Amino acid sequence: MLMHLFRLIWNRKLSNLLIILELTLAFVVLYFVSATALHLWSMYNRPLGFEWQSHYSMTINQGAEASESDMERLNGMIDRLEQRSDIDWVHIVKQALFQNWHWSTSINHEGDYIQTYMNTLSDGAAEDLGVTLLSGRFFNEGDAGQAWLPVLINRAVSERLFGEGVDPLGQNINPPSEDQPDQEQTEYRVIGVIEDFRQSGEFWGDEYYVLARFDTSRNDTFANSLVIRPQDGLSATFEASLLQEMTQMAPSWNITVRPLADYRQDRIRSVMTPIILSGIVAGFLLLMVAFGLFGVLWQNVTRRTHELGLRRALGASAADIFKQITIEMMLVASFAIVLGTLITIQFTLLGTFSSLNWMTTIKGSVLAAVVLLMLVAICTLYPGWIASRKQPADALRYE
Amino acid sequence: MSAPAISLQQVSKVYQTDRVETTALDQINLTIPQGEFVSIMGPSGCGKSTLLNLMGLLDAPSDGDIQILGQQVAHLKEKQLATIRNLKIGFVFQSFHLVPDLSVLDNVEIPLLYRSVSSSARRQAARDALERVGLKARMSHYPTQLSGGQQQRVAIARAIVGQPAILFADEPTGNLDSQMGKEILSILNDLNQQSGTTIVMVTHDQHQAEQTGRIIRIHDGQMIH
Ligand SMILES: Nc1ncnc2c1ncn2[C@@H]1O[C@H](COP(=O)(O)OP(=O)(O)OP(=O)(O)O)[C@@H](O)[C@H]1O
Ligand SMILES: [Mg+2]
Repeated sequence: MLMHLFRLIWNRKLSNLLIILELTLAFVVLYFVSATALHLWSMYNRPLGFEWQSHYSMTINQGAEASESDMERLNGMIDRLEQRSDIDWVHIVKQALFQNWHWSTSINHEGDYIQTYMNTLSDGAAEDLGVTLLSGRFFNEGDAGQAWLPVLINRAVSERLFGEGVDPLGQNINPPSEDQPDQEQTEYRVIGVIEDFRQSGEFWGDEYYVLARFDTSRNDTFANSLVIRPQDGLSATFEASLLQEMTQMAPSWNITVRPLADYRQDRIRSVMTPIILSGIVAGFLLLMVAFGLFGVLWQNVTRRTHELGLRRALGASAADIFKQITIEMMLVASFAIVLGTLITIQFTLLGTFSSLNWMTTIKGSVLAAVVLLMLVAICTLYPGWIASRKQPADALRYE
Repeated sequence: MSAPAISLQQVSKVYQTDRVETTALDQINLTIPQGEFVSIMGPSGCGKSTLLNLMGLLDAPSDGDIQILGQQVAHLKEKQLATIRNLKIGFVFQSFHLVPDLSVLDNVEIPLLYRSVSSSARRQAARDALERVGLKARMSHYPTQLSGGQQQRVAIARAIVGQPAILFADEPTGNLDSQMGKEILSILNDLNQQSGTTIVMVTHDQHQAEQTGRIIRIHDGQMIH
């Protein structure tokens, strides 16, 4: 039966070629939609690496008159906050969470360079934020005054720079460059490996992240962002009293207090809005492809009413006809899927889209293939069912 | 005594189109014993094809009972009807009805696709059937590459490839010249005599009809005695 159908498909190669092209187009569209959806979904489901649910973000804009005493004043404010009985803890997280503040830099280990995002956190911040420590330790006061800066690297950096065999703990990264000795570079020493710290939230796609220690005892530095954890959860009264107290201490500063959850919402919204819009566009595209497919397949089956009627006259049951149409279309669709995969793999090979790694490519292709086969099944089985319900005599009269 | 090949009791067929009702067959009673070669004659539009379609289980009657080889078909499921068509019945159509995208051999093997026959046995049976109609040499041709008479012989090969007990032929020579017609008729005669196949043939050719065992005449959907 299969060989018979193969010959039939082959002999109808011209009209089948059109269907295959249409199906290939549908596959490519489906592939991009599903690969994007899968990529977003996997990003969304990756752990952030820190907690945000009941925390406040306090951000400071010093205005025009930044001065040397700013850090002193900030330390005073932190002391005051720590004294409040309704506050669990206060920490500096220099690059504010869920906001568009980023610090990106190049680091290297033995000449192996990577571009990474970084952040500086005061002592206790990492553990209080619930950062998962894989090995080593967090920062503490003993780290002050060393020739090197203690850093925590995330798993991706560790795997990239040190690989399997080497223990990253105690290793130096970014040591003074030997060919440019005059250029001053900070030497980082790895004191711990953390799971992750996806600073900008669920849709943060970059992999590499490094946390450095913020030294509050230095005067030549400043941080515009604090994370505060109230004792009794989020409340408007707490927010208001906090803002009032802080503004009194630094009237010239512009201070904002807002739940981290709000920033996270903003973040998700700003990512999701264009995605939803393009999702709608892709949806329409898919709908059009589906309609086109339905038309082509419908026509393909009705055009063959006569042949199908003949087969029934010669002893095929309605189920046989159904089976034949399904197998034929599945064969044709498989051709299209192979062809489409050859096309979509090019994008991954060429690295056109950074989000298309091999895992997403494979999953996206499988998902696209499944959806396409389902679409083909729906678009063929219905006209097939109609064709097979006709009395053979009626079908034979059909031209 | 074995059951008749075909038995019709009070069989009617009414075609319902938008507003018009056409009574194509009106209470036909007919029995055809096994092994008989019967021809059906009558003016155009009298219901011959309709009758053949009903007997060949290609259409359902509006009323009445049909028995094929002693089996009542009225309450059979679609699947069971298909099985009877496949195993017991061969059909030759006036307009050949070959699949243009399939080779002669592929066309002939179609009935066997719906039986559990190995692919090699199927191809062998198709070659044998083509040999019987004298077309073995054309097996890998396509229908459009054949003459009308050759196409009709392919259709006969396809009808007999499954060795049916009953063969229906709706004007098998209608589109052919008289020489070709003679050849087709002699193939059918051989089949009837050598294999004992019951044959029911619609024809307009009085001379051909006289060579068969019995002539049934139809006028306006009714049998004339
Ligand atoms: N599917 C149909 N729908 C409506 N009317 C039909 C249908 N098929 C046949 N008829 C009508 O039934 C009557 C008998 O048709 P049928 O095809 O059986 O005639 P016939 O004897 O085979 O004629 P011919 O010798 O021209 O082939 C005709 O009046 C025809 O118009
Ligand atoms: Mg007719």
